[in-house]
Amino acid sequence: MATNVNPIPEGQHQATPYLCARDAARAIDFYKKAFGAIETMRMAAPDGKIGHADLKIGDAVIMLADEYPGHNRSPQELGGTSVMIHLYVANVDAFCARAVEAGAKLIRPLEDQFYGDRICVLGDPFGHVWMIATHKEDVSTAELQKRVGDSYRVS
Amino acid sequence: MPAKAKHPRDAAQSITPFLSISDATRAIDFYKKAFGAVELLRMEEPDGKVSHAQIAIGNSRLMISDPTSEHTAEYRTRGWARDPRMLGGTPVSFYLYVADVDSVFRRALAAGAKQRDPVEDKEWGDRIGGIVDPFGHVWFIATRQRAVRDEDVAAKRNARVVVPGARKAARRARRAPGAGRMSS
Repeated sequence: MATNVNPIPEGQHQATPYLCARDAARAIDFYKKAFGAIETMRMAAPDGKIGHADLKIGDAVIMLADEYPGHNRSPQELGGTSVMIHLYVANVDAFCARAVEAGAKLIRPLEDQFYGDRICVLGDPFGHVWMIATHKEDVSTAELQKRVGDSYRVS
Repeated sequence: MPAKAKHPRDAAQSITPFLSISDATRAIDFYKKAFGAVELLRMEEPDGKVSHAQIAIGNSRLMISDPTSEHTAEYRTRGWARDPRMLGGTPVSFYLYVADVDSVFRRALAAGAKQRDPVEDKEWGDRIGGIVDPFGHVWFIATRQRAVRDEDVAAKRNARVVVPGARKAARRARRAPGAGRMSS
């Protein structure tokens, strides 16, 4: 056993979103099909309930666990979410088409944004909300201010 | 395949959590104080509401938006994220690696967070503590202490590891040319 380890493990960002999903095993299947996620680890109880799982989508890790009363709460139980997951992909149109085909709900249709991204917002069958984006154009802070006029102050 | 344009504020992160917080200005101050966050961008409406902000905590980016802002009004009814205090909890927490969990945990409590789980050594090799921040978001602050095999953790918890070796495969995939981007 190594004792000299990096206190911040290599190969992942420091802050990782940890999703609670009712029926996490089905959620993992969905994220594979809809988002091309790769499952890298699953800690499952004998009844199949997932205590912890790691998924990779693109270059980032998402952690996932089943709902355990008193410990975490799913979007179904809460009636929504308080953290969207923003995801950059190379081709947002193709990505969204695949996700909707797999059962995601289109909350906000595909649209080019003033800040240089083309985005859509998807709701997954487990209640989590994803903003999917492809970056199309670099927009400087000064140019952003110009584009939004008086409606926002950009700093 | 990498997109042609490079994002000026977000070099190489495909996933960014987007937090809903109704007093985003105070939240940004809290994340600066508690986690040493750096503010990257802020878009403020004339009434001071933050419709969009980006901060960095270490090598991670986070987006923050005030759900009561004009910007999100149109989408609120369609499933946009809500402030955890309005929702009564949160279904997405954060696992945050720092170099020294004890000091960051203390700093977070001093800045106004509430303890959820005390800092302790866990069987998977991390020393972690859980907090609820003043806005209702949940953070597990962690420092890796030792390398532990997933199989050994599973054995202790009467669980099984379903995809052993897949982490190695993912590391190999990451090292491959052109890896680290969605190809959809």
